[in-house]
Amino acid sequence: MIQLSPEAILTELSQTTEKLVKGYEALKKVQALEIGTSTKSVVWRKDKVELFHYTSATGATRTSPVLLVYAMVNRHNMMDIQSDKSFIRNLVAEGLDLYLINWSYPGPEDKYITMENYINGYINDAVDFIRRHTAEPQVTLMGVCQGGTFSVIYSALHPKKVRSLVTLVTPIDFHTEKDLLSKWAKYLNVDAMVDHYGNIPGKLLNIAFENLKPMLKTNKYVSILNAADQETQLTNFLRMEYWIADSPDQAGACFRQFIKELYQQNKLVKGTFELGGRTVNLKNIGMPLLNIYAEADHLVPPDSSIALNDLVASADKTLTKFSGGHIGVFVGSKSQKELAPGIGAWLRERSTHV
Amino acid sequence: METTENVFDAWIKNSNKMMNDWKKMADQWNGGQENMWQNMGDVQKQWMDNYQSMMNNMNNPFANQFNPFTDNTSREAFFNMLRSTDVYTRLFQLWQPVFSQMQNNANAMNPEELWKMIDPAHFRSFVDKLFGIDQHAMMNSFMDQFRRSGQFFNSMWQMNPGMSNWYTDVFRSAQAGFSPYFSQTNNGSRPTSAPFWEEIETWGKYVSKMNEMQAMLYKASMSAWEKVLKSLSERSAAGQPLNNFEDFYSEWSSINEKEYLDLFNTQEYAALQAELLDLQIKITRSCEKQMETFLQPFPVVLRSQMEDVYKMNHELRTRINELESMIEELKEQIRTKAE
Repeated sequence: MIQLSPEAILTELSQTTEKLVKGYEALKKVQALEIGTSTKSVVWRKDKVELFHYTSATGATRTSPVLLVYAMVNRHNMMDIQSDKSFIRNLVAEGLDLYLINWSYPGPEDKYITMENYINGYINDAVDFIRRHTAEPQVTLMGVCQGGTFSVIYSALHPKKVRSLVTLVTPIDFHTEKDLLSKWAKYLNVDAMVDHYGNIPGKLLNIAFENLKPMLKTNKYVSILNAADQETQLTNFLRMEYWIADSPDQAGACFRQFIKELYQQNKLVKGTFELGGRTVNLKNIGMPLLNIYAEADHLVPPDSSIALNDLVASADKTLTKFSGGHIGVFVGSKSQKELAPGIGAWLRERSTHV
Repeated sequence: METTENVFDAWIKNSNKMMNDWKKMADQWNGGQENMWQNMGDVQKQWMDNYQSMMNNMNNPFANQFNPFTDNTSREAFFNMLRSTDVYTRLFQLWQPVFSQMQNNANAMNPEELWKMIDPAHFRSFVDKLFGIDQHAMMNSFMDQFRRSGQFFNSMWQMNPGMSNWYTDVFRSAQAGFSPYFSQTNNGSRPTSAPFWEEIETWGKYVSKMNEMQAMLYKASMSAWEKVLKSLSERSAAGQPLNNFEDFYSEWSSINEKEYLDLFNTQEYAALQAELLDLQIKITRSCEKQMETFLQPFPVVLRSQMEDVYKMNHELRTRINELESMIEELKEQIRTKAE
């Protein structure tokens, strides 16, 4: 049992105070945090949306073009958080000719942007640009989380433009047993939220995500105090904190449809989801599919992602489990050696560029 | 040149002095246990005062203009370190009587005994802090805004009577905007004060629902703490006691997280959470409507006026996109024909 004595209390309080003081001194020394530093250029722009093209030192590529579509929630530079933990850097090292859509930060004037504008508008225009830019008839789509859902919908509506489809931690079935966000979304008055806020504040969504693991924030700050004097560990920690806080607002019209028709009504798996006047039929997806999910994902439960493989018509489809959580899949140590190489190998097997 | 000590330097100085004083005190301890316990009570109070003072300064933008950090991330990180340490230390304080009792007989502890030793007000305050709930602060902040605005314009009018026409307009506008909140109606008629009473009713519902939410969280916390106690007793009986507070904190945290997640997965919690959000939105919308009434005479663009602009902006952009697509298609057709 914990031995309690005045000495023990004094020791505890002294140690805690000392850690806090060290934490303060260490934080004062931290220089500007840099994330998303992989070499890239902006090759296309429409409204606030940009298309990045990543290049390696050699410039050599071994696959047809790949368009990486991240979610609207948080920013894509988690995948390029630091030089030794960069999914993007690893993909480029695998020889992928990599493009990425930068969704940027919606302003009040963007509140009417719909899911159709994002999918049949920006994603389609980016795909067409890449096809012209590379003289390739088709593009590989690689979607992450909500970006994966958008990529799946796009592939079902424009299958002729998609060579192969890679989905990572992507929600497809929004009514699985362990989906806490879905349980909460069920009761939301989405219309009232969008009518009031216009764009849904990123900070509001962050509160919801934090409550999915209610003790995590307190625990990680108690824990980091033990490493406050270790500069590298502290800086790495702060980069993640920077990324977590960097939450763009969600365009209201898109949020309204995404929550009502996917989270609340689960229309995608039911085959009743419509976009631009067309029903999204997942059986139109016949191109090769690589579907990767995270074993310990508390944001997108595995069952939510796994469902995709039974809904598509693809003959060539792979389902891969990866250890770790929703973000750990990208920034974990194991991921650096396995995720991008695995995707690279899968794509090269199906590419005409070798 | 005399420089003003900033709040961060003051806190560091105070913290270092506290640690030095505690060390001297420990070195000089030769009194009885009773004196030592009394001294420890003082030590804990010093810690809490030092912490509280820093938290108040962090929350006060005017006392806090000096920023020793390179960026906001580091500043936020320090704030979170303070908050998390507060939770950690308060937990330590709350469980001290339990640890003390269990030293004598770990198996004698049962939930009834536990709750006799834990101060109920401190327990509730602890859970509120864990979830960032502070109803009084929200209400006060909300009413303060309107009160101060009214006082400001009243005093400006008194200071500059030569600008009486302008201030008259402003004051009338303020009255139209804010009077529902202070029951100052033009003619005492019910219709004028209706927004005020509707707002009060919504606030009442909000407070009531928030109390329900707090009750749910307290109940889950109590269940968790009883499970922690059970775990401690079982460990002690198995000869595997926890040897330090850090290990206890990990165990406590893990059990609490599971208990909270069990609660969050219930329909009752999800429905109540959504209802609270809905009520918050109603209150804020009502306030913003009153604020727009107040701002009417000013040369500013109101949010509701921008709605038409945003809608037109979106329609025009959509039309431009359609036309650009048509042009691309025509270009492609011409290119194909030329080939």
